[in-house]
Amino acid sequence: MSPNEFQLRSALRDGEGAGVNPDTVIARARGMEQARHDRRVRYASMAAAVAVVGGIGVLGSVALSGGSGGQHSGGANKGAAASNAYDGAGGGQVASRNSAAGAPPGVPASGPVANAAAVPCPATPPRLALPGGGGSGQFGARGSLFAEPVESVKVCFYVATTSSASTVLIGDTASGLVKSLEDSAKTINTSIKCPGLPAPTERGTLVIIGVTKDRAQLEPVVATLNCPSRVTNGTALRFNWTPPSNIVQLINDGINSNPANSPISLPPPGKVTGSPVQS
Amino acid sequence: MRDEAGFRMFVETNGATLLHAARLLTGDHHRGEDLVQGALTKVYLKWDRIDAPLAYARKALVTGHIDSTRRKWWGERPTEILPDEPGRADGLAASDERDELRRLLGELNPKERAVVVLRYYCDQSEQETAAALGMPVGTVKSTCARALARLRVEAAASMGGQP
Repeated sequence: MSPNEFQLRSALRDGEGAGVNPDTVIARARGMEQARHDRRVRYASMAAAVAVVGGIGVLGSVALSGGSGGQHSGGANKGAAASNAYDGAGGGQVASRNSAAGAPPGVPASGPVANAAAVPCPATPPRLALPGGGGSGQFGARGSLFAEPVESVKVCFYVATTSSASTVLIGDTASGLVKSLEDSAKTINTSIKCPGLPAPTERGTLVIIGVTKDRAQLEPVVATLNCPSRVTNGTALRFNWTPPSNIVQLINDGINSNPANSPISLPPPGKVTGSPVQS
Repeated sequence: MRDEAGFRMFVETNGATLLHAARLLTGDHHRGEDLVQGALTKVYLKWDRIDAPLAYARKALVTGHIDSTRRKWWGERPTEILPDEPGRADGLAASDERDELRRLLGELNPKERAVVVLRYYCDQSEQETAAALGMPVGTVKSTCARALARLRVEAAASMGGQP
């Protein structure tokens, strides 16, 4: 057999029968539509969940980065926070280059005085571990107390752990104080007397915070006014420092402002009524 | 809103032709029904957006058939035990010439079979066949000629005669 076109057509047409039930097709199509809709809803909810989680992650990272940035951008309004940072973590380790922006009332709005005045005194003096336990000759102990040249310094005096007085030094006075601190003995000498220091019962702590020209706050330098005195920034260490006269004045002011040290009030003079001994 | 009445009328008018074409394409009654249902489902889902539903249905039919013959990783897997085959013996293994021709049609490759069905069962022109299959007209002509030649040779061989 060699089929011609007619035979082929008739062979193909043979067996044509019933048609297709449209209801079956429509039901199947609706099922497919529902399945597609469900799949779209599922994907959309998954995408929304991913977007929410991603958004929370981004917000969290932004908040974290913003929080750490805020810690490095202290100022007059953030004095309390800065003080707390000094208290807990050993002082100079934290916020070593805080910007000294802003100024409290009564001081110029700008300039070295304002920069230093804006630096808050820590609520309590930073507790810096003395390098090598306070002994001389430790590695790094001969380094500089102030990492950069200072334009002004904030000096805070504490009796025990209470802030009693503070002052701002600028110009030559500030650099003179820094020089006297840096030039102090690098090895301890216990035989030296300490006439410039307050009496042993009043001895306290000085915290000296340098502020550079670009308003960066250096690590605090803590001077413990024992005899012999010790000055450290946590790394470098000096001994037998004698405070200059203006600082001695500050110390005295701080001591006098402390209510516990107020002068003893004697009873007013009056008429002697007789011998205290009864006859 | 989809025009369901129009779709029902379309299926009632053309369903039998499409079902038979699907059977010819697959060579199997049940697979043909599955194929035509799939094609008509596609037509229903796009009913409001297509201008020529019959042409779209034919195209969906041949495309679905050719796609189903491609090997897919999620498709058929080789197995040692063959399942029952209701296919060829179901309607095509007959003794007369017509049944013999349709059995030989099942031995063509899917594209050749689609060309023959569209040209000689659906009475499509070469251009319409080319459009439905997405191939050039020249390819349709050559494929058709090759398919017919194979049918003649196979038919002659099976009947013991000369082509």
